[in-house]
Amino acid sequence: MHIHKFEQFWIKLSFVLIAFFVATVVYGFVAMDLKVIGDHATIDPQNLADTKFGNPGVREVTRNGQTEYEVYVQTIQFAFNPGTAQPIEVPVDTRVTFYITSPDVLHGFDVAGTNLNTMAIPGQVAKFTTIFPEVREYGIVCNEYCGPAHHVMEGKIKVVPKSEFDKSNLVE
Amino acid sequence: MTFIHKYPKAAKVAKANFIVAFIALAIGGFFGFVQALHRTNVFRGFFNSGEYYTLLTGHGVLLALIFTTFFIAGLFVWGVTRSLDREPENLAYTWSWFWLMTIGTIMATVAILGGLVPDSSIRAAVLYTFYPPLQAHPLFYIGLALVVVGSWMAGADWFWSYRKWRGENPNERIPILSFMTLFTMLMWYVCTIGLALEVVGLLIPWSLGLVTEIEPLLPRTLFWFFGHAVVYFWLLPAYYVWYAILPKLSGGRLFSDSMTRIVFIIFLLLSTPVGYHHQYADPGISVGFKFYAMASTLLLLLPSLITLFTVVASMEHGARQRGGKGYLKWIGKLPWDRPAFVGCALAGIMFAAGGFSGMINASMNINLLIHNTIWVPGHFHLTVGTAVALTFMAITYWLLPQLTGRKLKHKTLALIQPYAWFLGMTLMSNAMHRAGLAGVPRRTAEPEYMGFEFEPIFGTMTEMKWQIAIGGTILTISLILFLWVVVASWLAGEKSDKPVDDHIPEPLSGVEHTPAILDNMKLWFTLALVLVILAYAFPLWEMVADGIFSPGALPRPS
Amino acid sequence: MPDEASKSTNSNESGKSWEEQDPDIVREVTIDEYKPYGTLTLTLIYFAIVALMWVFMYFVEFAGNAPSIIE
Ligand code: HEM
Ligand SMILES: [Cu+2]
Ligand SMILES: [Cu+2]
Repeated sequence: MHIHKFEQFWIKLSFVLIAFFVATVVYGFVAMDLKVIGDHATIDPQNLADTKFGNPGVREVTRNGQTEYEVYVQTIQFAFNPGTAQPIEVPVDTRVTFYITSPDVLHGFDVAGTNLNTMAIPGQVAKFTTIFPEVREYGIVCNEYCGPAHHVMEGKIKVVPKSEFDKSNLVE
Repeated sequence: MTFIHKYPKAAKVAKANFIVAFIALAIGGFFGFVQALHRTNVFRGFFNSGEYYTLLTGHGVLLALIFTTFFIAGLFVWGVTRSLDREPENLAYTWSWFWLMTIGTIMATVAILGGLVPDSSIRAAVLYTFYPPLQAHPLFYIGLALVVVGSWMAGADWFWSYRKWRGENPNERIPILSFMTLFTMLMWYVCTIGLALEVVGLLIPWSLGLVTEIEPLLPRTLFWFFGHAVVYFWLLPAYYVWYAILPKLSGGRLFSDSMTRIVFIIFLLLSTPVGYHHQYADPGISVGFKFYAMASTLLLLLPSLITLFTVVASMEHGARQRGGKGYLKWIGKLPWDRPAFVGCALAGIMFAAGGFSGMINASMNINLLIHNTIWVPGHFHLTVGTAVALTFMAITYWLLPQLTGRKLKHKTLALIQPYAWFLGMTLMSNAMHRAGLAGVPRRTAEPEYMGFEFEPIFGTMTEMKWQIAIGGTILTISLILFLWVVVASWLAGEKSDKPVDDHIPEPLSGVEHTPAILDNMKLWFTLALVLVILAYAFPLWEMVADGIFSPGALPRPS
Repeated sequence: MPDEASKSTNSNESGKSWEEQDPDIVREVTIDEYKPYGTLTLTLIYFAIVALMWVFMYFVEFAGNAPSIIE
């Protein structure tokens, strides 16, 4: 086989580029805590009422001696519950774990302008943990087509100072 | 003598495929125009926002699935016939796959357009990815299934010609045009297994009401089993043009026959076991599978990077034969005044840019930055929407004269057309990429929200909106120019014995330097199947172990 | 010749190479004399652009876009 020496060189460089990409992804994943969601749990989408999703909202939990929060969200045609009717309120600089599922069709849960971006799939529970670094409001966008009013589906996250976090809205 | 005089039957088949392809392009392109104006809120008077999704389904299906498949079929009929020097083996068979695909197309199109009729029960606003539990009318799924079955039969037709040819030429190497066709079709057979399982096994029975519940993740996963390789099913025919024809249009020869074959083999092997890279943001799929898919996906950069080198080197060879000199000055010697060349070359440049955004999409965690934002349409309008579509349009300027025996008319318009496409796409696509970085979602009729504003990092929302709207308009004008040139030349081009120089010179480094093992189709096909099984058997098993239809969700009207 | 070119519909009877017949082609560049310096230059430029933009996108755009999924 006859491969020109310039092309041989280019093929080697291509391998270098590919290795470099894989390396940065792994580095980000391991050292910079830039994760993706994985396989958490399945759930019966027709019986969410009997689960924590039946009473969606923010819960306080203690893990490793730390106060953390869990947020259960249902994405429904065409709203986030909670998120649309009332904002999801969480404290700044605290670990917050989201659990998201859908009783009807596929939706997206994208906190606009951040790396929080997941699919909501009936039958699957999407789970991810994050820490909000600043006090501000974020918009939530449904970024997967979910039906004729998909474009009105939006919500809000309100990140407040720890001292102002109002625990009376927590759910049991 | 040109193609039509030598192979009148094949020419007719190829032309029939092109007709369907161009009708799909015209309708789909019009929907694209409406979308570009609607999304940006420049003009929303054509349709209401609920109907937007019917149009978007039409745009995706007619362009990404129908235009591509029919054009590819026509292109491959041309290439197989010509390179094996034989008409189709049995015309009744050949026409039967053409009509099967056409009937399927009509069924799916009727189902989609039914959504524009008030209170119609025939609807299919499920987009071209048709994720359940959103449900379309059965016509939609059955129509698409017929298109795929027809495409399988078309592939079998080309293998049939090949076998006959092989019988008569036992010791010859597979001619390069046929090689690329057959390997593309082998890849197509591997990846459409997923689609067939999804559509025939799950969606058709479900849309007919034979089963009511469906597990959404399973069909979605089967779709993406097919859904990455399908992008290579679109792209490889463009590569076919770039490898086999573009060198000659540049005034040179293909740089290397062996590299061409190696590239197609790598695509056959790796195109399918990477589908999970469309599901980085999905729950229900473990991080390990996602990582495996990412590594294989990035390995797939290799054949495209090799293509970059081989194709550019072939063009440079042409430029130097045309008197080009220097490190970069030779570029000016390329025939920038010939529509077919210009279209392919500009398509290649856009593909290099689209390649970069593809690298971002492919890389697991950074994908979350842009997943399901308008960045993604920004990316694939560079790849399928330009690298593929513009190459197909450009090569039509060279093929149509061979298929009709008529010279191209309106050469100036034909020359303006690819430049206009390039300009329009530069505007539309750069703005889509940047809007995506701000979080603007794709597939959304009115991406404006009451509770918050997008905060772009580069540029302003207003400027991006206008770039998308104006870019989309220029693209539409370019498309009209293309259709005009095609129709005018087809109907009224000057008849000629030699309407275009259709000679394809041999490669610089020819097949005599190419190892014989590269032509071993059984070997590569088996290996491709093994890789797919390795990647998919376990995760699919996990998904169906709890019952194929559970956890089950109920269907929802689209 | 196994290549399809020999069967091309206008393969020339004159015995002249294709290059000699095309008026735009000023000279034939054979494989032995052809060195694709231009291609190497272009691909290296592309490599540099892609690598730089990658670092920027990954470490500035993406890593700086917190909050991110940390688990
Ligand atoms: C006149 C030229 C075109 C214009 C103005 C145009 C415009 C658009 C716009 C604005 C969108 C985004 C819609 C949204 O996400 O809300 C879109 C989506 C899309 N376009 Fe185009 N486009 C054109 C040509 C093409 C071509 C030639 C192809 C492929 C061959 C193509 C394939 C697609 C696909 C597959 C989608 C995604 C559909 C979906 O998300 O379901 N487009 N187009
Ligand atoms: Cu939605
Ligand atoms: Cu893909």
